[in-house]
Amino acid sequence: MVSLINQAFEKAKSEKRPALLTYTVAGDNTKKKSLEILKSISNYADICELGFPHNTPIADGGQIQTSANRAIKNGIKINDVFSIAKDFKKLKKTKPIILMGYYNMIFQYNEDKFLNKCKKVKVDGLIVVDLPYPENKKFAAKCKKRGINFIQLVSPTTSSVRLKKIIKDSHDMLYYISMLSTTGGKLKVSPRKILERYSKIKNQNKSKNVVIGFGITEKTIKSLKKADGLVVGSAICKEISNSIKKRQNPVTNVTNIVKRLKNKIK
Amino acid sequence: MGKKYIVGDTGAGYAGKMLSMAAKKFGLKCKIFMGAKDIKRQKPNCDAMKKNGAEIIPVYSGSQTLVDAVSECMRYWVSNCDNTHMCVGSTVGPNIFVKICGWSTAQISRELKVQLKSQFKKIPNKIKLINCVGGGSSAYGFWSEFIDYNKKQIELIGVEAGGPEKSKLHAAPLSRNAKIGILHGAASYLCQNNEGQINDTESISAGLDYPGVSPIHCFLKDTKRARYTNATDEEALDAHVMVTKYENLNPSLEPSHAFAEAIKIAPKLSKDTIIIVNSCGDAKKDRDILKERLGKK
Repeated sequence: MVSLINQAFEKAKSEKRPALLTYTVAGDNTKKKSLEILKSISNYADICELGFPHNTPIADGGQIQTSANRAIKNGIKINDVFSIAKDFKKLKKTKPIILMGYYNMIFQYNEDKFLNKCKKVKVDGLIVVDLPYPENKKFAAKCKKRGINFIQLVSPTTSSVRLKKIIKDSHDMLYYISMLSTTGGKLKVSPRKILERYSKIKNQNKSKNVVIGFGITEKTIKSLKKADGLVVGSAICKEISNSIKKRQNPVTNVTNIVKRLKNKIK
Repeated sequence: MGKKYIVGDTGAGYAGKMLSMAAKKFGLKCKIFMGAKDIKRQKPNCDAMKKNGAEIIPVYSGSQTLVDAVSECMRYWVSNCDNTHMCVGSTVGPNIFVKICGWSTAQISRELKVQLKSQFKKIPNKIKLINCVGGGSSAYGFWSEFIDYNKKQIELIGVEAGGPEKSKLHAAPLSRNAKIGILHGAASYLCQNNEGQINDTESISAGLDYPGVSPIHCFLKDTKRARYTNATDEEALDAHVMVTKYENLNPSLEPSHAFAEAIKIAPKLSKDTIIIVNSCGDAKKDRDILKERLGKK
Protein backbone atom coordinates (compact mmCIF):
# COMPACT_ATOMS: atom_id res chain seq x y z
CA MET A 1 0.00 0.00 0.00
CA VAL A 2 1.29 3.44 -0.89
CA SER A 3 1.65 5.61 2.22
CA LEU A 4 -0.33 8.82 2.49
CA ILE A 5 2.99 10.65 2.57
CA ASN A 6 4.01 9.19 -0.79
CA GLN A 7 0.56 9.90 -2.19
CA ALA A 8 0.91 13.55 -1.18
CA PHE A 9 4.23 13.80 -3.04
CA GLU A 10 2.75 12.07 -6.11
CA LYS A 11 -0.13 14.49 -6.18
CA ALA A 12 2.21 17.49 -5.98
CA LYS A 13 4.38 16.01 -8.72
CA SER A 14 1.37 15.55 -10.97
CA GLU A 15 0.69 19.26 -10.48
CA LYS A 16 4.35 19.98 -11.30
CA ARG A 17 5.14 21.65 -8.01
CA PRO A 18 6.90 20.74 -4.77
CA ALA A 19 4.83 19.53 -1.84
CA LEU A 20 4.25 22.15 0.82
CA LEU A 21 4.92 21.02 4.37
CA THR A 22 3.92 23.17 7.32
CA TYR A 23 5.10 22.99 10.90
CA THR A 24 3.04 24.19 13.83
CA VAL A 25 3.33 23.45 17.52
CA ALA A 26 0.52 21.50 19.15
CA GLY A 27 -1.17 23.69 21.73
CA ASP A 28 0.07 26.97 20.27
CA ASN A 29 -1.48 29.17 21.33
CA THR A 30 -4.23 26.97 22.80
CA LYS A 31 -5.21 23.36 22.24
CA LYS A 32 -8.38 24.41 20.43
CA LYS A 33 -6.72 27.12 18.33
CA SER A 34 -3.88 24.86 17.25
CA LEU A 35 -6.39 22.31 15.93
CA GLU A 36 -8.27 25.06 14.11
CA ILE A 37 -5.03 26.32 12.58
CA LEU A 38 -4.12 22.80 11.51
CA LYS A 39 -7.51 22.17 9.92
CA SER A 40 -7.48 25.47 8.10
CA ILE A 41 -3.93 25.37 6.72
CA SER A 42 -4.31 21.76 5.62
CA ASN A 43 -6.51 23.07 2.81
CA TYR A 44 -3.30 24.39 1.27
CA ALA A 45 -0.52 22.33 2.80
CA ASP A 46 0.18 18.85 1.43
CA ILE A 47 1.67 17.44 4.63
CA CYS A 48 1.26 18.85 8.14
CA GLU A 49 3.99 18.57 10.71
CA LEU A 50 2.80 18.91 14.27
CA GLY A 51 5.37 19.60 16.96
CA PHE A 52 5.09 18.17 20.45
CA PRO A 53 6.62 20.95 22.50
CA HIS A 54 9.73 20.45 24.62
CA ASN A 55 11.14 23.04 27.00
CA THR A 56 14.78 22.48 25.99
CA PRO A 57 14.60 22.37 22.20
CA ILE A 58 18.25 22.52 21.24
CA ALA A 59 17.70 22.46 17.48
CA ASP A 60 15.22 25.31 17.48
CA GLY A 61 15.72 29.02 17.10
CA GLY A 62 13.74 31.77 18.79
CA GLN A 63 10.44 31.53 16.91
CA ILE A 64 9.77 27.86 17.56
CA GLN A 65 11.12 28.14 21.12
CA THR A 66 8.54 30.85 21.74
CA SER A 67 5.75 28.71 20.29
CA ALA A 68 6.81 25.69 22.34
CA ASN A 69 7.02 27.70 25.55
CA ARG A 70 3.60 29.20 24.90
CA ALA A 71 2.11 25.74 24.42
CA ILE A 72 3.75 24.29 27.53
CA LYS A 73 2.67 27.30 29.57
CA ASN A 74 -0.86 26.60 28.40
CA GLY A 75 -0.55 23.17 29.95
CA ILE A 76 -0.28 21.06 26.80
CA LYS A 77 0.62 17.43 27.54
CA ILE A 78 1.69 14.69 25.17
CA ASN A 79 -1.77 13.11 25.35
CA ASP A 80 -3.28 16.44 24.23
CA VAL A 81 -0.99 16.29 21.20
CA PHE A 82 -2.38 12.86 20.36
CA SER A 83 -5.94 14.07 20.79
CA ILE A 84 -5.28 17.03 18.44
CA ALA A 85 -3.82 14.64 15.87
CA LYS A 86 -6.77 12.29 16.31
CA ASP A 87 -9.39 15.02 15.87
CA PHE A 88 -7.53 16.30 12.84
CA LYS A 89 -7.36 12.90 11.17
CA LYS A 90 -11.04 12.27 11.81
CA LEU A 91 -11.83 15.23 9.58
CA LYS A 92 -8.95 14.97 7.13
CA LYS A 93 -8.53 11.26 6.63
CA THR A 94 -6.17 11.45 3.66
CA LYS A 95 -4.02 14.36 4.84
CA PRO A 96 -0.71 13.06 6.16
CA ILE A 97 0.36 14.24 9.56
CA ILE A 98 3.90 14.01 10.93
CA LEU A 99 4.66 14.41 14.61
CA MET A 100 7.92 16.15 15.35
CA GLY A 101 9.81 16.58 18.60
CA TYR A 102 12.59 15.56 20.94
CA TYR A 103 13.40 12.02 21.99
CA ASN A 104 13.24 12.43 25.77
CA MET A 105 9.47 12.86 25.60
CA ILE A 106 9.09 9.63 23.63
CA PHE A 107 11.50 7.87 25.99
CA GLN A 108 9.58 8.95 29.08
CA TYR A 109 6.24 8.00 27.50
CA ASN A 110 7.76 4.64 26.52
CA GLU A 111 8.73 3.98 22.91
CA ASP A 112 6.23 1.19 22.27
CA LYS A 113 3.38 2.92 24.01
CA PHE A 114 4.16 6.10 22.07
CA LEU A 115 4.22 4.33 18.71
CA ASN A 116 1.07 2.33 19.42
CA LYS A 117 -0.67 5.56 20.27
CA CYS A 118 0.65 7.12 17.04
CA LYS A 119 -0.73 4.21 15.07
CA LYS A 120 -4.07 4.39 16.83
CA VAL A 121 -4.59 8.08 16.04
CA LYS A 122 -3.28 7.50 12.48
CA VAL A 123 -0.07 9.52 12.61
CA ASP A 124 1.74 9.02 9.29
CA GLY A 125 5.30 9.91 10.18
CA LEU A 126 7.75 10.94 12.88
CA ILE A 127 10.70 13.31 13.00
CA VAL A 128 12.80 13.01 16.14
CA VAL A 129 15.28 15.83 16.03
CA ASP A 130 17.79 14.58 18.57
CA LEU A 131 17.76 10.89 17.72
CA PRO A 132 20.37 10.70 14.97
CA TYR A 133 21.45 7.83 12.76
CA PRO A 134 22.57 5.16 13.68
CA GLU A 135 21.17 5.55 17.22
CA ASN A 136 17.70 5.69 15.67
CA LYS A 137 17.93 2.37 13.82
CA LYS A 138 15.95 0.32 16.34
CA PHE A 139 13.34 3.00 16.79
CA ALA A 140 13.00 3.48 13.02
CA ALA A 141 12.46 -0.27 12.62
CA LYS A 142 9.72 -0.16 15.25
CA CYS A 143 8.07 2.67 13.31
CA LYS A 144 8.23 0.72 10.07
CA LYS A 145 6.62 -2.29 11.69
CA ARG A 146 3.61 -0.14 12.52
CA GLY A 147 3.45 1.51 9.10
CA ILE A 148 4.76 4.82 10.42
CA ASN A 149 7.35 6.69 8.39
CA PHE A 150 10.50 7.52 10.33
CA ILE A 151 12.03 10.54 8.66
CA GLN A 152 15.81 10.72 8.67
CA LEU A 153 17.58 14.07 8.73
CA VAL A 154 20.63 14.91 6.63
CA SER A 155 22.60 18.14 6.71
CA PRO A 156 25.37 19.92 4.79
CA THR A 157 27.93 18.28 7.11
CA THR A 158 26.69 14.71 6.54
CA SER A 159 29.59 12.82 4.94
CA SER A 160 28.98 10.91 1.71
CA VAL A 161 29.64 7.56 3.41
CA ARG A 162 27.13 8.38 6.12
CA LEU A 163 24.66 9.75 3.60
CA LYS A 164 24.66 6.43 1.70
CA LYS A 165 23.93 4.50 4.88
CA ILE A 166 21.18 6.88 5.98
CA ILE A 167 19.47 6.74 2.59
CA LYS A 168 19.67 2.96 2.59
CA ASP A 169 17.92 2.81 5.95
CA SER A 170 15.42 5.60 5.25
CA HIS A 171 11.71 5.17 4.62
CA ASP A 172 9.63 7.20 2.12
CA MET A 173 10.97 10.62 2.94
CA LEU A 174 14.24 12.36 3.81
CA TYR A 175 14.62 15.78 5.37
CA TYR A 176 17.52 17.87 4.10
CA ILE A 177 18.57 20.69 6.42
CA SER A 178 19.37 23.53 4.03
CA MET A 179 22.28 25.04 5.93
CA LEU A 180 24.23 25.03 9.19
CA SER A 181 21.61 26.56 11.42
CA THR A 182 18.91 26.07 13.98
CA THR A 183 15.34 26.44 12.77
CA GLY A 184 14.33 29.95 11.77
CA GLY A 185 17.79 31.08 10.69
CA LYS A 186 18.24 33.44 7.77
CA LEU A 187 18.99 31.57 4.56
CA LYS A 188 22.74 32.18 4.36
CA VAL A 189 23.53 29.74 1.56
CA SER A 190 22.55 30.44 -2.05
CA PRO A 191 19.54 28.46 -3.33
CA ARG A 192 21.74 27.19 -6.16
CA LYS A 193 24.16 25.67 -3.68
CA ILE A 194 21.35 24.15 -1.65
CA LEU A 195 19.78 22.59 -4.74
CA GLU A 196 23.18 21.28 -5.81
CA ARG A 197 23.51 19.37 -2.56
CA TYR A 198 19.88 18.38 -2.74
CA SER A 199 20.47 16.78 -6.15
CA LYS A 200 23.39 14.80 -4.78
CA ILE A 201 21.07 13.27 -2.21
CA LYS A 202 18.18 12.84 -4.62
CA ASN A 203 20.33 11.14 -7.27
CA GLN A 204 21.35 8.38 -4.89
CA ASN A 205 17.84 6.99 -4.81
CA LYS A 206 15.19 8.72 -6.88
CA SER A 207 12.37 6.82 -5.20
CA LYS A 208 12.94 8.71 -1.93
CA ASN A 209 11.18 12.01 -1.50
CA VAL A 210 13.60 14.64 -0.30
CA VAL A 211 12.28 17.77 1.35
CA ILE A 212 14.26 20.89 2.23
CA GLY A 213 13.70 22.77 5.47
CA PHE A 214 15.26 25.53 7.63
CA GLY A 215 15.31 29.15 6.51
CA ILE A 216 12.34 28.86 4.16
CA THR A 217 10.05 31.87 4.11
CA GLU A 218 7.75 33.66 1.68
CA LYS A 219 10.86 35.36 0.32
CA THR A 220 12.95 32.25 -0.27
CA ILE A 221 10.45 29.49 -1.10
CA LYS A 222 10.22 30.14 -4.82
CA SER A 223 13.95 29.77 -5.39
CA LEU A 224 13.87 26.19 -4.09
CA LYS A 225 10.79 24.91 -5.91
CA LYS A 226 12.74 22.20 -7.73
CA ALA A 227 12.76 20.11 -4.55
CA ASP A 228 10.25 17.32 -3.86
CA GLY A 229 8.97 19.25 -0.90
CA LEU A 230 9.59 22.37 1.16
CA VAL A 231 9.02 22.82 4.88
CA VAL A 232 7.99 26.10 6.47
CA GLY A 233 7.94 26.28 10.26
CA SER A 234 9.41 29.33 11.94
CA ALA A 235 7.71 31.75 9.56
CA ILE A 236 4.37 30.28 10.62
CA CYS A 237 5.20 30.29 14.33
CA LYS A 238 6.29 33.90 13.99
CA GLU A 239 2.94 34.76 12.45
CA ILE A 240 1.14 33.22 15.44
CA SER A 241 3.26 35.35 17.77
CA ASN A 242 2.52 38.47 15.72
CA SER A 243 -1.20 37.74 15.62
CA ILE A 244 -1.34 37.38 19.39
CA LYS A 245 0.58 40.61 19.80
CA LYS A 246 -1.79 42.46 17.47
CA ARG A 247 -4.84 40.75 19.00
CA GLN A 248 -5.78 39.31 15.63
CA ASN A 249 -7.02 35.84 14.85
CA PRO A 250 -4.01 33.58 14.27
CA VAL A 251 -6.14 31.12 12.27
CA THR A 252 -6.89 33.66 9.56
CA ASN A 253 -3.39 35.14 9.49
CA VAL A 254 -1.59 31.81 9.40
CA THR A 255 -3.93 30.48 6.73
CA ASN A 256 -3.19 33.54 4.60
CA ILE A 257 0.56 32.95 4.88
CA VAL A 258 0.21 29.29 3.89
CA LYS A 259 -2.02 30.30 0.98
CA ARG A 260 0.61 32.77 -0.23
CA LEU A 261 3.40 30.18 0.20
CA LYS A 262 1.42 27.73 -1.90
CA ASN A 263 0.83 30.29 -4.64
CA LYS A 264 4.55 31.00 -4.85
CA ILE A 265 5.39 27.40 -5.76
CA LYS A 266 2.53 26.69 -8.12
CA MET B 1 41.09 22.53 10.33
CA GLY B 2 41.59 26.26 9.95
CA LYS B 3 38.82 27.15 12.37
CA LYS B 4 39.40 30.54 13.95
CA TYR B 5 36.78 30.59 16.69
CA ILE B 6 36.00 28.58 19.79
CA VAL B 7 32.81 28.62 21.86
CA GLY B 8 32.00 27.21 25.25
CA ASP B 9 29.41 27.35 28.01
CA THR B 10 29.95 28.17 31.63
CA GLY B 11 27.96 28.25 34.86
CA ALA B 12 30.19 29.52 37.65
CA GLY B 13 32.59 30.89 35.09
CA TYR B 14 35.54 28.53 35.65
CA ALA B 15 35.22 26.64 32.40
CA GLY B 16 34.73 29.95 30.64
CA LYS B 17 37.78 31.45 32.31
CA MET B 18 40.00 28.48 31.47
CA LEU B 19 38.73 28.31 27.90
CA SER B 20 39.33 32.02 27.42
CA MET B 21 42.93 31.54 28.58
CA ALA B 22 43.48 28.60 26.24
CA ALA B 23 41.91 30.50 23.37
CA LYS B 24 44.17 33.46 23.98
CA LYS B 25 47.22 31.20 24.02
CA PHE B 26 46.29 29.57 20.71
CA GLY B 27 45.09 32.74 19.01
CA LEU B 28 41.44 31.70 18.72
CA LYS B 29 38.58 34.14 19.09
CA CYS B 30 36.46 33.01 22.02
CA LYS B 31 32.77 33.32 22.82
CA ILE B 32 31.44 32.15 26.17
CA PHE B 33 27.73 31.45 26.64
CA MET B 34 26.51 32.17 30.14
CA GLY B 35 23.06 32.45 31.69
CA ALA B 36 22.08 36.04 32.49
CA LYS B 37 21.42 35.05 36.12
CA ASP B 38 24.92 33.56 36.38
CA ILE B 39 26.57 36.61 34.81
CA LYS B 40 25.06 38.64 37.60
CA ARG B 41 26.00 36.30 40.44
CA GLN B 42 29.53 35.41 39.25
CA LYS B 43 30.75 38.80 38.10
CA PRO B 44 34.44 38.42 39.09
CA ASN B 45 34.85 35.46 36.74
CA CYS B 46 33.14 37.40 33.95
CA ASP B 47 35.66 40.19 34.41
CA ALA B 48 38.47 37.65 34.12
CA MET B 49 37.05 36.20 30.90
CA LYS B 50 36.75 39.65 29.36
CA LYS B 51 40.31 40.42 30.39
CA ASN B 52 41.40 37.39 28.38
CA GLY B 53 39.66 38.83 25.36
CA ALA B 54 36.62 36.56 25.38
CA GLU B 55 33.17 37.77 24.48
CA ILE B 56 30.45 36.76 26.94
CA ILE B 57 27.09 36.01 25.33
CA PRO B 58 24.30 36.38 27.88
CA VAL B 59 21.53 33.78 27.60
CA TYR B 60 18.07 34.98 28.51
CA SER B 61 16.02 31.89 27.71
CA GLY B 62 14.55 29.53 30.32
CA SER B 63 15.94 29.82 33.83
CA GLN B 64 18.93 31.86 32.54
CA THR B 65 21.41 29.41 34.09
CA LEU B 66 23.85 26.73 32.94
CA VAL B 67 21.33 24.45 31.20
CA ASP B 68 20.26 27.34 28.97
CA ALA B 69 23.86 28.34 28.34
CA VAL B 70 24.69 24.81 27.15
CA SER B 71 21.62 24.73 24.87
CA GLU B 72 22.42 28.11 23.38
CA CYS B 73 26.10 27.25 22.91
CA MET B 74 25.12 24.07 21.04
CA ARG B 75 22.68 26.04 18.89
CA TYR B 76 25.41 28.52 18.03
CA TRP B 77 27.86 25.76 17.24
CA VAL B 78 25.60 23.80 14.87
CA SER B 79 25.04 27.09 13.06
CA ASN B 80 28.75 27.92 12.81
CA CYS B 81 30.64 24.63 12.99
CA ASP B 82 32.33 25.33 9.65
CA ASN B 83 34.60 27.90 11.30
CA THR B 84 34.11 27.30 15.02
CA HIS B 85 35.19 24.71 17.57
CA MET B 86 33.01 23.85 20.55
CA CYS B 87 34.35 22.99 23.98
CA VAL B 88 31.57 21.89 26.31
CA GLY B 89 32.25 23.23 29.81
CA SER B 90 31.68 19.98 31.66
CA THR B 91 31.76 16.22 31.11
CA VAL B 92 28.31 16.39 29.52
CA GLY B 93 26.98 16.41 25.96
CA PRO B 94 27.72 14.02 23.10
CA ASN B 95 30.42 11.38 23.68
CA ILE B 96 33.49 13.16 22.30
CA PHE B 97 32.89 16.33 24.30
CA VAL B 98 32.71 14.29 27.50
CA LYS B 99 36.08 12.76 26.62
CA ILE B 100 37.76 16.05 25.73
CA CYS B 101 36.64 17.65 28.98
CA GLY B 102 37.40 14.58 31.12
CA TRP B 103 40.87 14.18 29.67
CA SER B 104 41.61 17.83 30.43
CA THR B 105 40.36 17.84 34.01
CA ALA B 106 42.08 14.50 34.77
CA GLN B 107 45.40 16.33 35.09
CA ILE B 108 44.51 17.13 38.70
CA SER B 109 44.29 13.46 39.64
CA ARG B 110 47.58 12.73 37.92
CA GLU B 111 49.11 15.42 40.12
CA LEU B 112 47.30 14.16 43.21
CA LYS B 113 48.78 10.72 42.72
CA VAL B 114 52.30 12.14 42.66
CA GLN B 115 51.57 14.22 45.76
CA LEU B 116 50.14 11.24 47.64
CA LYS B 117 53.23 9.19 46.91
CA SER B 118 55.57 11.95 48.05
CA GLN B 119 53.56 12.61 51.21
CA PHE B 120 52.88 9.00 52.26
CA LYS B 121 55.55 7.08 50.27
CA LYS B 122 52.75 4.97 48.78
CA ILE B 123 49.02 5.26 48.12
CA PRO B 124 47.48 5.01 51.62
CA ASN B 125 45.10 2.18 52.55
CA LYS B 126 42.05 4.24 53.43
CA ILE B 127 41.24 7.29 51.39
CA LYS B 128 38.04 9.20 50.74
CA LEU B 129 38.06 11.48 47.73
CA ILE B 130 35.27 14.00 48.10
CA ASN B 131 34.25 16.29 45.27
CA CYS B 132 31.24 18.37 44.35
CA VAL B 133 29.26 17.23 41.31
CA GLY B 134 27.31 19.47 38.95
CA GLY B 135 28.01 18.32 35.41
CA GLY B 136 30.78 16.36 37.10
CA SER B 137 33.94 17.47 35.29
CA SER B 138 35.80 18.41 38.43
CA ALA B 139 34.88 15.15 40.20
CA TYR B 140 35.78 13.01 37.20
CA GLY B 141 39.09 14.85 36.88
CA PHE B 142 39.83 14.39 40.57
CA TRP B 143 38.97 10.68 40.54
CA SER B 144 40.23 9.64 37.13
CA GLU B 145 43.50 7.98 38.26
CA PHE B 146 41.80 6.24 41.18
CA ILE B 147 38.70 4.70 39.62
CA ASP B 148 40.44 1.33 39.12
CA TYR B 149 41.37 1.09 42.80
CA ASN B 150 39.27 -1.03 45.15
CA LYS B 151 36.55 1.08 46.70
CA LYS B 152 37.48 -0.23 50.16
CA GLN B 153 40.82 1.48 49.68
CA ILE B 154 39.70 4.58 47.85
CA GLU B 155 36.10 5.63 48.24
CA LEU B 156 34.79 8.19 45.76
CA ILE B 157 32.13 10.52 47.16
CA GLY B 158 30.28 12.96 44.95
CA VAL B 159 28.27 15.78 46.50
CA GLU B 160 25.48 17.34 44.47
CA ALA B 161 23.60 20.58 45.03
CA GLY B 162 20.61 19.95 47.31
CA GLY B 163 19.27 23.46 46.77
CA PRO B 164 17.76 25.67 49.46
CA GLU B 165 16.49 23.81 52.54
CA LYS B 166 12.97 25.12 52.11
CA SER B 167 12.75 24.58 48.36
CA LYS B 168 11.67 21.48 46.50
CA LEU B 169 14.03 22.40 43.70
CA HIS B 170 17.58 21.07 43.60
CA ALA B 171 20.26 20.01 41.11
CA ALA B 172 20.90 16.52 42.45
CA PRO B 173 19.76 13.95 39.87
CA LEU B 174 22.09 11.20 41.15
CA SER B 175 21.35 11.40 44.87
CA ARG B 176 17.67 12.32 44.63
CA ASN B 177 16.76 9.33 42.45
CA ALA B 178 15.94 11.12 39.21
CA LYS B 179 15.02 8.95 36.23
CA ILE B 180 17.22 8.55 33.18
CA GLY B 181 16.50 11.02 30.42
CA ILE B 182 18.08 12.52 27.32
CA LEU B 183 19.43 16.04 27.33
CA HIS B 184 22.10 17.80 25.27
CA GLY B 185 22.86 14.72 23.22
CA ALA B 186 23.42 12.19 26.00
CA ALA B 187 21.47 9.97 28.37
CA SER B 188 21.90 10.59 32.08
CA TYR B 189 19.98 10.77 35.31
CA LEU B 190 18.01 13.92 34.84
CA CYS B 191 15.80 16.29 36.84
CA GLN B 192 12.62 16.15 34.78
CA ASN B 193 8.88 15.70 35.05
CA ASN B 194 7.00 12.60 33.90
CA GLU B 195 6.37 14.16 30.47
CA GLY B 196 10.11 14.48 29.87
CA GLN B 197 10.24 18.26 30.27
CA ILE B 198 13.43 19.39 31.98
CA ASN B 199 12.81 20.68 35.50
CA ASP B 200 13.99 24.00 36.81
CA THR B 201 16.88 23.60 39.22
CA GLU B 202 17.90 25.75 42.13
CA SER B 203 21.23 26.08 43.86
CA ILE B 204 23.26 28.80 45.51
CA SER B 205 26.14 27.51 43.43
CA ALA B 206 26.02 28.42 39.75
CA GLY B 207 28.54 25.72 38.84
CA LEU B 208 26.35 22.92 40.20
CA ASP B 209 23.04 24.32 38.98
CA TYR B 210 22.43 21.83 36.12
CA PRO B 211 19.55 19.31 35.78
CA GLY B 212 21.62 16.52 34.21
CA VAL B 213 24.98 15.01 35.05
CA SER B 214 27.84 13.35 33.22
CA PRO B 215 27.08 9.86 31.85
CA ILE B 216 30.38 8.85 33.48
CA HIS B 217 28.95 9.56 36.92
CA CYS B 218 25.76 7.67 36.06
CA PHE B 219 27.97 4.70 35.27
CA LEU B 220 29.92 5.10 38.52
CA LYS B 221 26.62 5.26 40.41
CA ASP B 222 25.13 2.22 38.66
CA THR B 223 28.26 0.15 39.24
CA LYS B 224 28.37 1.43 42.83
CA ARG B 225 31.98 2.54 42.37
CA ALA B 226 31.14 6.02 43.61
CA ARG B 227 28.67 7.15 46.25
CA TYR B 228 26.59 10.26 45.65
CA THR B 229 24.93 12.49 48.17
CA ASN B 230 23.96 16.14 48.34
CA ALA B 231 24.35 19.18 50.54
CA THR B 232 21.87 22.04 50.83
CA ASP B 233 22.68 25.69 50.21
CA GLU B 234 22.72 26.26 53.96
CA GLU B 235 25.05 23.32 54.64
CA ALA B 236 27.43 24.58 51.97
CA LEU B 237 27.42 28.06 53.51
CA ASP B 238 28.10 26.62 56.98
CA ALA B 239 30.94 24.55 55.58
CA HIS B 240 32.39 27.61 53.88
CA VAL B 241 32.33 29.48 57.20
CA MET B 242 33.98 26.63 59.09
CA VAL B 243 36.69 25.96 56.50
CA THR B 244 37.67 29.60 56.14
CA LYS B 245 37.81 29.89 59.93
CA TYR B 246 40.11 26.94 60.57
CA GLU B 247 42.06 26.47 57.35
CA ASN B 248 44.07 28.72 55.14
CA LEU B 249 41.55 28.12 52.36
CA ASN B 250 38.76 30.06 50.75
CA PRO B 251 36.61 27.49 48.94
CA SER B 252 33.91 28.77 46.60
CA LEU B 253 30.33 27.59 47.01
CA GLU B 254 30.82 24.57 44.72
CA PRO B 255 33.53 22.80 46.77
CA SER B 256 31.83 24.04 49.96
CA HIS B 257 29.25 21.35 49.16
CA ALA B 258 32.05 18.77 49.26
CA PHE B 259 33.44 20.21 52.49
CA ALA B 260 29.96 19.94 54.03
CA GLU B 261 30.05 16.17 53.44
CA ALA B 262 33.60 15.91 54.80
CA ILE B 263 32.54 17.73 57.96
CA LYS B 264 29.49 15.46 58.23
CA ILE B 265 31.37 12.15 57.98
CA ALA B 266 34.73 13.01 59.56
CA PRO B 267 33.72 12.40 63.22
CA LYS B 268 32.68 8.83 62.41
CA LEU B 269 35.89 7.84 60.64
CA SER B 270 38.93 5.99 61.99
CA LYS B 271 42.07 8.02 62.69
CA ASP B 272 43.99 6.44 59.81
CA THR B 273 41.41 7.39 57.20
CA ILE B 274 42.58 10.14 54.89
CA ILE B 275 40.00 12.56 53.55
CA ILE B 276 40.90 14.57 50.49
CA VAL B 277 38.51 17.29 49.40
CA ASN B 278 39.03 18.98 46.07
CA SER B 279 38.77 22.69 46.79
CA CYS B 280 38.10 23.28 43.12
CA GLY B 281 37.34 26.97 43.22
CA ASP B 282 38.07 30.17 45.06
CA ALA B 283 35.32 32.14 46.80
CA LYS B 284 36.44 35.44 45.34
CA LYS B 285 33.87 34.94 42.63
CA ASP B 286 31.13 34.42 45.24
CA ARG B 287 31.83 37.59 47.21
CA ASP B 288 28.44 39.15 46.41
CA ILE B 289 26.47 36.03 47.39
CA LEU B 290 28.51 35.54 50.57
CA LYS B 291 28.07 39.17 51.50
CA GLU B 292 24.34 38.87 51.04
CA ARG B 293 23.97 35.57 52.88
CA LEU B 294 26.60 35.94 55.60
CA GLY B 295 26.83 39.68 55.80
CA LYS B 296 30.59 39.67 55.64
CA LYS B 297 33.51 40.98 53.60
